[in-house]
Amino acid sequence: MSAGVGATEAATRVGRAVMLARGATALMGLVALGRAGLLGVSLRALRQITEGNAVEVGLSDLTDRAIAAGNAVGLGVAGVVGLCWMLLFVRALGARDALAVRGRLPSAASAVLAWVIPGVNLVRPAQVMGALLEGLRATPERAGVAPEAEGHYRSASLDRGASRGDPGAAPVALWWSFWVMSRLLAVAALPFEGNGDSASGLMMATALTMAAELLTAVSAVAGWRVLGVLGARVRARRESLVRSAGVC
Amino acid sequence: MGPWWRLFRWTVSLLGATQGPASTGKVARLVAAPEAAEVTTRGVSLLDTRVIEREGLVTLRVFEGYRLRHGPTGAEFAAEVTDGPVRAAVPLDDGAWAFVTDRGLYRAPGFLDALTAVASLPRGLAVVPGSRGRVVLRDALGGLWSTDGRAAPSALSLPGRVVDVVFRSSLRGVAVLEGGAVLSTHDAGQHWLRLARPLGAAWALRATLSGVLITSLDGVFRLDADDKLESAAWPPAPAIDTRAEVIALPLSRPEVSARGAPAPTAPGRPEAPRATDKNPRSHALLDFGEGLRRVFDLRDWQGLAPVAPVANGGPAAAARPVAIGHLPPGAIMRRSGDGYEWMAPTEGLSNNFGPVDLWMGQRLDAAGRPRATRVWVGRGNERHVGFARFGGVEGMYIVTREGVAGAPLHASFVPWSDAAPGPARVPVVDGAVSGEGAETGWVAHPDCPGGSARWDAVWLYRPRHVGLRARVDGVEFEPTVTALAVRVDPTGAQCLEGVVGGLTQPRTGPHDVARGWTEATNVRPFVWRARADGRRSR
Repeated sequence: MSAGVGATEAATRVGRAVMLARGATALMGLVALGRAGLLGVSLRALRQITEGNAVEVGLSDLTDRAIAAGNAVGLGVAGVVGLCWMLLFVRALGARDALAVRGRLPSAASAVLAWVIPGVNLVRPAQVMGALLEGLRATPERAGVAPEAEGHYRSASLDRGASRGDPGAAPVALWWSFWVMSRLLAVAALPFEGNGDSASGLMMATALTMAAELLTAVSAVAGWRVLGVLGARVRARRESLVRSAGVC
Repeated sequence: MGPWWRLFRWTVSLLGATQGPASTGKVARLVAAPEAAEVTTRGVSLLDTRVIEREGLVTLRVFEGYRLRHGPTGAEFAAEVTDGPVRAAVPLDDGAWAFVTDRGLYRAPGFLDALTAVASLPRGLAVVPGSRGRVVLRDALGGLWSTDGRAAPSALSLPGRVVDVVFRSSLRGVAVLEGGAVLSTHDAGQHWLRLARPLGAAWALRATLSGVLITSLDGVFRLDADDKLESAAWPPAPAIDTRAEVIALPLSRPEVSARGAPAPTAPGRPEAPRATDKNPRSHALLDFGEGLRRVFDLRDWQGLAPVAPVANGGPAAAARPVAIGHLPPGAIMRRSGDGYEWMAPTEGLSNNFGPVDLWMGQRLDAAGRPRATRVWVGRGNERHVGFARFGGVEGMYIVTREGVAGAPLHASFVPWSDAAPGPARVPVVDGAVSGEGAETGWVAHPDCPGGSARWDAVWLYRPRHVGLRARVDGVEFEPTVTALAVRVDPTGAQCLEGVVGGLTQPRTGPHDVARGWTEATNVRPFVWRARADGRRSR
């Protein structure tokens, strides 16, 4: 009974963190889409300028100011999203015992650090998320797992065994590959800006940054899906634990 | 971008916060002259440039802070750009040029050569146009300042309030005072002498390579290099009867009556017209006497200010201009035959050739009914285009010949219908007008057959007076700017074909690209051609 209560509380805490992270991720996607649009306008203006068609100064200035403001907004939103994801990792990893998460999982502290160390943050968070999803998969000994916890992957994954073929890995791979590509493009754009002494360089920087923002938006959609899978598995695990403990 | 800022951007981009480049401003700066100049020839219409001087087919133009020489082979831009838009460019005695912006005075050995900052200028100075050899500025209080382009401007003193002043060299200049007196100087304005031969009241000056053109009620005279007036005068405006008796307008002060109308005059008493300020911000009532009154809408006409430049054919200085309300330019009233005629210049407009005056006039019969209305655009004796109303038909005229030294200029009055806006089906009337003519040779039209023909291009503003409606790609609109082009034969004596084009010219920003002449020539809502019988048809 105490195990069931603990699982319920932990699942609730993790579920809230998942909801928070989903909201922040959606916000990030929307902001990225908006910024991509602004950069598109800027790119068009740049092309007009370099082709000799003068552009309206007011619009040009407005675009530049909007992009600069978008940089600040993007920085803030990225910070919020990072905090939400860190909170999610802290809560999920802290509830590993209560939710009977299997497998080798890192500590909450190392998972948080993985988000803020450049370079490491391109690899480790996806690994932690993958391990979490893997550890929350339904197992044969946990009878009565809700079918929706495994989704449409359930039968195949159960048949193949727990150690390989996690259906949650596909959304994670999608999410993270787009995210890493967006980061690489964003970083790759920076050298083209240089000191602002080349119109073609600035145009390339704008184009790359716009592509990075579009990939960020796609990544946010995939991340939303990953969080959905995580939430479903947490709920399924809670129900499984509650059912096995005989407590409602 | 400093190294720490760069490191920050790298880091945050890597961590998830994309830092996009706000770069349109950077690129706009990057494409400044000369790179920008090369691309600007495609993007910025020549309409947005201002003609400073012409040397045959080559024109010297300014656009914003750019200077360019434009000719048949293309445009060449100066490498340097001034700190702001060039308000005026004045050729100096030694072949150098002075350029005036809102903030400073520059000098360059040649039009496109490197700039040297001569002096910073306080805000509020306006350039008095038309001078050569000396830059003349007018401050907000009406005070004049001048410089030969080598030093900061110094005060220019004249014995009276100045209506217009031009210099044809750094030392020699001519000024018109209120009342119409004409003065000249040979020492850069240290001393001024009244012209030995009195003119009818003068009101406009224009410096040309061959002398100073003085526009007066007696016509347009050229003052040559020896300060001698040519004996022959050019009429100041189409069909102005210069023999008409000038009626004095003793408008000492505008009279404001309680009802907004002047007190009735005694029957039969030849009382001079007087003005009443009905509403100084919107309407003015001009009482011509003898029961003739006209109310003018100042808002539509951008100001109508009657003046009294002369008194009953007497000396020009006998009367002073008095403005109605707050608007400075003057209207001139005089008797014409058995009726009256008045005209009012309105300054502040500009066309593709630089600053111009918009002149409006009406001929009234003895009962005060308008018989003819004229509007013409130009400055002094430059009359490029205008229209007249005769009965129910408005006529547009286009100047087709040029040259002050030649024969009187010809104008083609193209009858214009109010009922169906466009040329009316009545014969075109050719008449003699004054003017230096329109631009020649700077635009070619694909429909122009024969290599010997040339095109003149003129511009007319305020098309609502003409009632022109254009159609572009099936969309009908009322153009804000109307382009007119006439083709003339090599002798310039006969207008063979005309094209009227309209274009909108939105100006939402200083870099806004207007639709240029090329597009305008492709807009041909009305085309009329010469017919064998000499008449023209649409």
